[in-house]
Amino acid sequence: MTAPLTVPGAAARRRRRPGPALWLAGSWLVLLALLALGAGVLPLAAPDAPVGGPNLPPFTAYPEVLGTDGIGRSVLSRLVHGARISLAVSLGATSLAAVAGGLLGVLAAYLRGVAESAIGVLLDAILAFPPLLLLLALAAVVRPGVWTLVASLGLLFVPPFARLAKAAALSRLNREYVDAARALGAGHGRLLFRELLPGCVAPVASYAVVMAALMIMMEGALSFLGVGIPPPAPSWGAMIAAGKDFLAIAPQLVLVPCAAMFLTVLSFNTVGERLRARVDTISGGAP
Amino acid sequence: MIVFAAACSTGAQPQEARPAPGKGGAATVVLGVEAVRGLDPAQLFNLTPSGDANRLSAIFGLLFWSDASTGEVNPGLGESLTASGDGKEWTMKLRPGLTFSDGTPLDAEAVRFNYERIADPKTRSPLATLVKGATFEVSDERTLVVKLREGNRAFDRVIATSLAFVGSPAAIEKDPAAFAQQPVGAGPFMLKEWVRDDHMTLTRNPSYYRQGAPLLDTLTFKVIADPAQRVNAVASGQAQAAVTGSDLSFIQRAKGSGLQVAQAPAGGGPMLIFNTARAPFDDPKARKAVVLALDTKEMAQVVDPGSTAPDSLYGASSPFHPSASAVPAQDVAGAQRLLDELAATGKPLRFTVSMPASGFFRRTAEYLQSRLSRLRNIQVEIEVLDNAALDRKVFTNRDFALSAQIVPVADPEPNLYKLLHSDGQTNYMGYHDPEVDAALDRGRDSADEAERREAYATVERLVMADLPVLPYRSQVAYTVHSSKLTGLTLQGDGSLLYDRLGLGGS
Repeated sequence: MTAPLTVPGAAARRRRRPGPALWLAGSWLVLLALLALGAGVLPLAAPDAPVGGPNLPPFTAYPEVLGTDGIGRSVLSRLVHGARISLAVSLGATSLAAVAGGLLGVLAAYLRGVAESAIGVLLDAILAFPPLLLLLALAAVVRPGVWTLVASLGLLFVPPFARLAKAAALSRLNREYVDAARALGAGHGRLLFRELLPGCVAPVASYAVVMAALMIMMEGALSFLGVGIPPPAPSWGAMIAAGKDFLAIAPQLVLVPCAAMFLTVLSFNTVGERLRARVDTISGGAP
Repeated sequence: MIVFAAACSTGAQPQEARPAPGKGGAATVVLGVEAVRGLDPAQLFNLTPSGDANRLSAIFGLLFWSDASTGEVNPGLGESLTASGDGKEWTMKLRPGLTFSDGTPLDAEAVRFNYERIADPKTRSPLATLVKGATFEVSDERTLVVKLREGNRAFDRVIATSLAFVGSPAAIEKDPAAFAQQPVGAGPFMLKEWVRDDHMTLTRNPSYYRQGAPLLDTLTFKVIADPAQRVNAVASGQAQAAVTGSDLSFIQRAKGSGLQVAQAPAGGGPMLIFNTARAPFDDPKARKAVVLALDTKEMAQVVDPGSTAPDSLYGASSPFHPSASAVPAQDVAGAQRLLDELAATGKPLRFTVSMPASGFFRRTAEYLQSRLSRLRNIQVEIEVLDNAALDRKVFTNRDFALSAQIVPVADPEPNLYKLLHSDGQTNYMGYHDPEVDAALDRGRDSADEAERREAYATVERLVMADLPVLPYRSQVAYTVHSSKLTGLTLQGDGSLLYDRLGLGGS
């Protein structure tokens, strides 16, 4: 049993101090999370009540520094409340996919045989559906909302997590500490949950951060297509969809939520990449 | 000779790319909705300009057509339409020598065949109520006498809007089911190729009755779902005309892109429709509270920037347009009082706004929700539905509280009658008021202009007091087109007359 090969120096490079990009990304995510959590108590206008004339440009009025939308509602308030919905959908769906996928993957790796084949067929079946088409079909049957979005997006992204967890579990199945536990008479439950699962948490968690960014974009795409969060609840995708009708006269209605989505996705990706590099280093470097 | 030709072509450079009217050419018109149920004159389904009205006009032509602004009836394939004194007997005279594009004659017998097919319960035509109880007699080759069960002095308008299209009886008899997919008419164009959800290519009908018409050789209808993309298609030269649908904000956008807009202001337009057949809007107080809470001027501006709010059911150019605004003025305190009264009787106003998903209607729903929620004792939910779901829920099952529909009103007949009469075809509100019915009947059956004016003023007074509907944006039928395309005449609800279209402009 040899330790996996690592390129000398690569680990050291990855272990360098966090740069400004990471700090910025982290700060944006923390700020966003605080705003989303505090949306109810912050001194913001109600997201579905008019505060002034329609299509007020940004930076012309206080406290509506981001102006008003086509209906005269506060863009700032809708952006913050939209963050709440977009983050809830993104984190909820990612958690669901990570937990379900992680468990399925570890189970498949541990049980092998028929169970592994059954789980494999199930995952392949989910993967074989074009995701957007499946989501559109689901939206036609069930009434769209935060919970249905979380459930359907979560279900769709079970397979990548399951495969990742299975790969991580397989690489640990033959490690000495697992053999030792088995020799000491550990049962299935103990082997699964105490020995195998903890090793899979790090890769799954780091991947989840990257997936969270993808989920935000999926929610945006669905709301843009009109099958996401129904009005008047604000979500970033719905804000972009509503603003596109006024692109010629009020481009800020599209640009503001687009910028928010761009920054968030970029931040999740920056943090996610960094975490993944760390996890690779840990699992690659330490036996 | 060569020099002369060269000089000539240089001099005529701007003319070269676009042949003068009568010299053919091809034009593309962009519509919004595919003719999903085919094109059968007995099965008119989506007779809107962005739907089937334009296709039908090109393929079938029109026996008679009505001016999009005034509702005045003009001859088309038909020559004249005259009523007996009581409006019970109508004599339709056709032009001589009309033939369908399959060579069979379009005579009085063919029109009778089409109308009896509509009346036949087996056809299940949505137009059947229009000819219920009527009999049709062919008195000579070109003359059809229609005897109605009840007098209707406005039946010419019914013909011009709903019974204007006739198909070839030979083609219909051969295969009635296939006819909708392979329509044969006597219009200016014939169907050549139809690729569903993409385009429909039509070629000039050489046997069209008017000498030298149509001007174009080829006409193509394209389907683009997004209205902004329809305007862009014309701006980029992929198409010569586009029917953008209900949003008036595209007029400004099109003009900004250097395009022309053929427009016809009319009355009516998008209306809120209250379901008066069930709670909560069976109570006039609830309807009044909603209407008084709204500032229709602001509403028009918000839901469709650049548009205005109507002040009457009738258009500004209509003889029935009142001198003062007929729409109730905003009175928030009054609305609150009504809402409080409703709450005090244990019926606080709670309802759902059911709207189509298009930008205009979605903004209407969000506007209503945002403005009404400022008041107390009212709770408004929004439900945005795709077209199929809306059709089923609102227009078929009438399972709604507040929705909207577009009802253009050129002359009050026939659209206002259909909307407000107890057994009107588009009375989805389930509205029933004997006084309104009587006034609508009076307006329809009178030949005297002064009496009609009185009748329609009564209709407006009663409707604006009882509020089964609220028009909230003025209606303008329009088609965006490039300056090359000429001869755009808007008829009916805003579709074109295709024998006049040419590529002669600059």
